[in-house]
Amino acid sequence: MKADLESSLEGVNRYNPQNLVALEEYVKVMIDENQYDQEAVLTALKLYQLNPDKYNEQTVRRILLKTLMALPRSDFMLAKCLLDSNRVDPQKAASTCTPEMTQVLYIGAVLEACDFASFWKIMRGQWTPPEDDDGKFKPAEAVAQIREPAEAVAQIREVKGFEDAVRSFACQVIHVTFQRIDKDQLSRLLGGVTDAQIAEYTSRHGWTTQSDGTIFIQNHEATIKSRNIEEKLEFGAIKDILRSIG
Amino acid sequence: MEFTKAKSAKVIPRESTDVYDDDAHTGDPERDLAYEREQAQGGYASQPTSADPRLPDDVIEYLRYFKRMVEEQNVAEIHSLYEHGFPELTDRFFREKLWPNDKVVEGIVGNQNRLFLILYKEVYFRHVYMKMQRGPSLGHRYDSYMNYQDLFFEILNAKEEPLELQLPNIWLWDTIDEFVYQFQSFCLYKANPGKRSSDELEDLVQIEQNQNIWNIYPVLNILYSLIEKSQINDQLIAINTGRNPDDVADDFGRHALYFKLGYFSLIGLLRTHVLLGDYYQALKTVENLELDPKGLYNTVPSCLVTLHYFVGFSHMMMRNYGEATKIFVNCLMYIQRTKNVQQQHHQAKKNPWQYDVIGKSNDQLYHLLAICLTIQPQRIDEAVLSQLQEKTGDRMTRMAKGDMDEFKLAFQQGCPKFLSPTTAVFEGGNLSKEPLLRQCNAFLEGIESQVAIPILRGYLKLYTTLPMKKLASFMDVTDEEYDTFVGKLLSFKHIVSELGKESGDEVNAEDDTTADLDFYIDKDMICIADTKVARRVGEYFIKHIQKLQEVNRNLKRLPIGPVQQRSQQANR
Repeated sequence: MKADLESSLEGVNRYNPQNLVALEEYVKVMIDENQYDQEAVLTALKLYQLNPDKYNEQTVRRILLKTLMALPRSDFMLAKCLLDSNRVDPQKAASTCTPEMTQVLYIGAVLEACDFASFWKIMRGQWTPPEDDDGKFKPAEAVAQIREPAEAVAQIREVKGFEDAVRSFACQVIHVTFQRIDKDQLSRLLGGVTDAQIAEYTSRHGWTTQSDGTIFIQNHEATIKSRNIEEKLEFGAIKDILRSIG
Repeated sequence: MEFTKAKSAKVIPRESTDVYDDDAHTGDPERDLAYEREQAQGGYASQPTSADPRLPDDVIEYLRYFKRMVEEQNVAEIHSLYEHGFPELTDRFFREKLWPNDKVVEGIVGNQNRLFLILYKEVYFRHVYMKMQRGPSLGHRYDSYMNYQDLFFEILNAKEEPLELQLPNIWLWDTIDEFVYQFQSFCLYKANPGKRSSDELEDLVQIEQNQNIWNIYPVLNILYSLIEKSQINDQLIAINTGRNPDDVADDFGRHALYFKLGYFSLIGLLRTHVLLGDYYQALKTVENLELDPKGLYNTVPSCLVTLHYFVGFSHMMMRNYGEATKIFVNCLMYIQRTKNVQQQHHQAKKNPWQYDVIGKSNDQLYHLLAICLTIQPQRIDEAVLSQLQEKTGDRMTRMAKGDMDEFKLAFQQGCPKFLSPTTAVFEGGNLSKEPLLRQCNAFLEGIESQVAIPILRGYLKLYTTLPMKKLASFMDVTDEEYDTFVGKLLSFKHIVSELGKESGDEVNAEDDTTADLDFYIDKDMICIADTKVARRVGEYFIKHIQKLQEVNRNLKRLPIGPVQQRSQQANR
């Protein structure tokens, strides 16, 4: 299927709206079989942009969820930029935006903000909208607006491998942030996984469990350190100006 | 009304993706009549078809010579006629009115050379677009589009051998750039009912029904066809790998006209993709086009600026702030370096359109740079930095405090005019700003999770180590929000480590001396690394040495001799 589509998306033929039928099917396959093809999903969105009458929100929602699984890459952002405002904002004239769409966008905002805590709360049905306080610290605005977490969860459950993808994203961010991390905290960021799962992620990313209950991620001390950059003037760089003075 | 009828009579039913079966529009008496009427408003009422006696001799001479040079393929002369002659004559004779239309010109130079007339009209319409304060009329938009079709038809439909034509780089670039600009302009025009007269409405309804001008499909088709015909991608790959591009190209690809048009079309297509919000395709379009001093884009300043602006913008939208910063800064350095040359050039030819492009991009680039540097501060060229602080210093301070409105303003002032190719409003509100607002919101939604970054940075700057709990208490984080707060730190690293980079290659920390602040978390202790840069004195001295030299040069040039004479005269 992928090969077939690839040949029909070459050059200007990419813009042929007749490809949409095949693309929509392909997106469904990606959802069911945990595959991903960035080129294909972005092409589908492009075709919806150029042929508004063919717009299919269900497929668009699926695509958005798939692009979220590609985090930390910016595919979700790319996908959002291809949607017109009346597709994503219920306030606009002639808006086609359904509540389901809004939920997907909220989930996207939560994950883009690396707010894994809220994401897992939503998935576990433990989520309550934060109360307004005047504190300096606020979660992303979108997070505070989630009203129907259960429906969002239902949409996510249809996408094979979504939670795993989020865990993998979390691991990548943890990898660049932490030198050592408490096992409890790691477990929380990965959505309350079991010790066995933690062991699996640990070995997958080349981390090591230590005797004090922490997990050693990688040595950042050596690379992240304060530096003072002094100017080094090389003769070659000032040769010309010296010559012009002389 | 006749105008519409004439036009719709010309509409040929065709596949939406197929442009080149359209025939030329000259020779249709009814339409040309309407054309004349259109011209009447431009100051050429009752235009005779022979040389207009009121047309100055210089202009007639210019046109005849121009045609001869085009026929002789004398690129150097064409270049001077295009870049200097045209603006000069415009300034002398056509400040208040339009250049003569193609019928008049045909009367002067004869009708054997159709290609010359098409080229003339290309420049003629560009002048029309520039002159009309409220935008050109629908009739002009229509005619200009048809002329572009004629031009590209001539070029692309040469079957056996390449078209015998050579044009200077700047004209070729201007042609592609103007083509995309006029498409953009039409999209904004049809989404904004305030921009048109009631007569035009009826015509527009017709045009939109038939989708026969400035439709996205044919526009893309033309650009893609130019790219394909010139085999530009294969040729660029060959050049980049040190092979001879002629080995991979056929007669068309080897022909300078096709090679250059294909090359500039890549940049035109880049721009088109960005205007549609398609940043992935935008960057993919120019993936073979390397930013190096040997590239063809260097020969045309406005092309260089356009390329950098849109590539940098795409990176910014994809959250690669580091990459975007680098490109913006390079471009700004180029503008700064060439500013004097550009200005002299600009004054010499009294040509208001070229410097404007660069001047406007210059301002936009600073707004965008302000956004990138707020989210991901880096060390940049000092001359650019001082300009940046002068222009947007206050704004950057407010953005660093997390002021979303300030981000929004900076974005809107720095971004291109986005468009929706499918929105046509026949009555009701103006929707031409919608695509821009959409991109702005999409950008801000993402940035919202990142505005905490500058705030965090503010705290982190003060310490070398800082317990997580202490930082949490600074930011009024309650216990149940603690994990969300950890997310902010993760998000910080997500951006700074550029995990989102398409290429996927690991960022080499050793190499990355540009980041000013970095940290890692060891259990619950944040360890912060700060990079301090000592003041660079070398650049400072060099600048002042140069200034002194210039003063000295100017002093020497001063006529000191006559002073003595004058004093002698005074003595007498």
